[in-house]
Amino acid sequence: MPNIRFDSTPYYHVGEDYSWHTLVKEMREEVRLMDQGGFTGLWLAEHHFAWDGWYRAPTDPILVGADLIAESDRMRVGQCGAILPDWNPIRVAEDIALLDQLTRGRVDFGAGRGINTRSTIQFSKEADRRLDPNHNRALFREILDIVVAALEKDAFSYKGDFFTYPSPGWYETNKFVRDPRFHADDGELIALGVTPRPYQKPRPPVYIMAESAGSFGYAGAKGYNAMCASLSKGRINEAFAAHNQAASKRLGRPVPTGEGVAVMRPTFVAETYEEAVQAVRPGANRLATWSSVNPHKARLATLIEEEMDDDDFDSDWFDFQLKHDLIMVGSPDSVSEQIERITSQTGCEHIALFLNFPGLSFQQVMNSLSLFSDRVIPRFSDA
Amino acid sequence: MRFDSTPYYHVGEDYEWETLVDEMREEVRLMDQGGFTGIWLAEHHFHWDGWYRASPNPILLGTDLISESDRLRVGQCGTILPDWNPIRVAEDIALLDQLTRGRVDFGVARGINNRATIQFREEADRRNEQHRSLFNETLEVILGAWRNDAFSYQGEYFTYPAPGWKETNPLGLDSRFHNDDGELKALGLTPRPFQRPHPPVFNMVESAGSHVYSAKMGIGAMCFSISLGRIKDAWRAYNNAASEAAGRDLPYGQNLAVMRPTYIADTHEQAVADAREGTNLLASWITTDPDKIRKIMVSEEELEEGDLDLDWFDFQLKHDLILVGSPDTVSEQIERLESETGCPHLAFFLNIPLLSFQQVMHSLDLAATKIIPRFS
Repeated sequence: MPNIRFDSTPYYHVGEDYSWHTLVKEMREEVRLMDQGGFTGLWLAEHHFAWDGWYRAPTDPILVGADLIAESDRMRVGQCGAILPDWNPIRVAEDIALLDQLTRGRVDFGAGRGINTRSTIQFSKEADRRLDPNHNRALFREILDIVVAALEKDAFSYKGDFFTYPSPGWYETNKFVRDPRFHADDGELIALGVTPRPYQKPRPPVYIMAESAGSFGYAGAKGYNAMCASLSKGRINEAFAAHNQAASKRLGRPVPTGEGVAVMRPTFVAETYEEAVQAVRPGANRLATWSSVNPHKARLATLIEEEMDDDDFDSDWFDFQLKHDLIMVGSPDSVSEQIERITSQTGCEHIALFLNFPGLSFQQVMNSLSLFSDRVIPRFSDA
Repeated sequence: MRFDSTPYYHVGEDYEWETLVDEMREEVRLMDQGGFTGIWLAEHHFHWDGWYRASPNPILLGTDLISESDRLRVGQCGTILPDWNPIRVAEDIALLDQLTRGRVDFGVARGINNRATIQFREEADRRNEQHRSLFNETLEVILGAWRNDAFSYQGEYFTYPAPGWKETNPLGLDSRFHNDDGELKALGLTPRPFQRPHPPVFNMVESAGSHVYSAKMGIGAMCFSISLGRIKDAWRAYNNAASEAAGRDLPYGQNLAVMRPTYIADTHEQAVADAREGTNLLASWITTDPDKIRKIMVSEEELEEGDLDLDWFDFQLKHDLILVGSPDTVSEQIERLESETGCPHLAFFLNIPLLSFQQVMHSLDLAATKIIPRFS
């Protein structure tokens, strides 16, 4: 049995009208439990304009990460993900580097393209996914290139379709600060240096939040990790293979299976299987209704053909997800069996729990985390 | 009098960030114990040359440092608005205000480092005039987002919401945010600030005109490098404009603050010896025309024969532009500031170059034990 790394999100009370200062206290308490309970990392999402109470994650996962990670001297902190089209590229690089300094190198930089166009167009017209979807992808990849260059290099410049750094035509007026790395002979600024530099050298690990083999392949080719959330074991295999091939090609050596890839799963554990199912079923189904998922299409996209059974289109959404290990819900025993299936069938060695099934109480979530710490994690660790 | 402080950044030094972070946290713990009310953090980008080594994000760094205290307030001196997306600022400040349960003072500034600002936004280029209206709009958007459950804005640079979005999810329709045909007509910020309707706002300004602008916007102001005479002029102008805007006489000094470079040692002579070189070094780095600056900082009536020939440090100390000395002499400086301007709120700026961490901690400790008690 491989040593599995377990991470988790906090619980946001998605869909509830919940007081933020209670939420903040709860999240800190969850992180303290994770810290004590053998979790390795914390992941935070980015959602804007959640006035309807849905997707009530904080708007800035880097900022709230700085608060929550103060509860632990040990855990890592990531974003699942920082929605790059909603950010200025320089600002992301600076904030990630600063957080990496504040935590002495415990940042996993997670980046996502975003799924909420209503929100993203408030930040950048270029990010409108109703236009050519390739446009949004190109924007995402350009921002990521800039962020990585700014993190890795003491002096960087960039010229792309959307951004040019430095902004051309600035001549240094102060002769004291002329530096050949940053200035041409005539004083024109030719490069920028983001400060502080990251603590991890050359930069924190990058995780792309990705749901397709294509995106996993892109990540592998660029030297990035990738994390998926809603792919079946069959689709994970395809995605992991694409990442592995691209990463091996990039490095010129075979990369071990499971390296640089991770899976996030909605997770809830109770004392008994029945209790867990009963607690989660209504919320899981409600989330699907709210996301206005076309259930037929979603089921087709989630599975590969060999995984699909005749009854898969008729079952309840919750039952469908549980059957295919798309969610991990049950007793410590049954959830451990799910993890064994996922890890043995895909080679995955890094699992992040997504706690946000709507309708759970804070006590239920803490109990679930506690059961997971006491009775699931130890089965998957050598120590 | 309320006393606040910045941390010490080791400006001009090639200093390890991990050590710096530890030091700043320790400084904040001392301030927490020592009777200070608030901390203030600056925003500086691209300081590869070691100057202005403050962090690029005062809101993010503030989130970390304020976790050292359950009591202190946390502000920015200031958030350089042209370097930010307005929504991002409004969200981040509101989030920090929630995380601290209402201990944020929102400090804003137009920015003085054009090299940095143009990397974020072309319109913010100070070489043309429109940067003023950009600042104004950014501030209006932020205040609108905080003051209203549902907000919209139409300006020269920003339009919220982005037009033409029709809600695809019928479950999400809400008459506050959507027209009958489902088009999005307003946005709602989440979380909203803990302080209602929003944290106090301080504009980092120097001129009387900028003080008046702040008064008209209904926000406070903090100045840094103007003399007692200039402060009096600026604050009277602020008070008049604020009273006019409110339609009633407001108390003089309300929402106004002064920041001053500050260093205290056991004796006056020791403090002067420690702070002189760094103060002069900072001046030579910042400006090539100290005479011009002297006349901006100090009013004509205050400027005396020989002032332009003084060492930069001596000039600043003479006019109480820096607070440097023993607990006794610095207290006298603060008494002058208080009696001549009515200053209710003083923030120390610790970043006189070339000081050691130990010197800074000793200075803060002397302020906490021997100065603050005299004014409370």
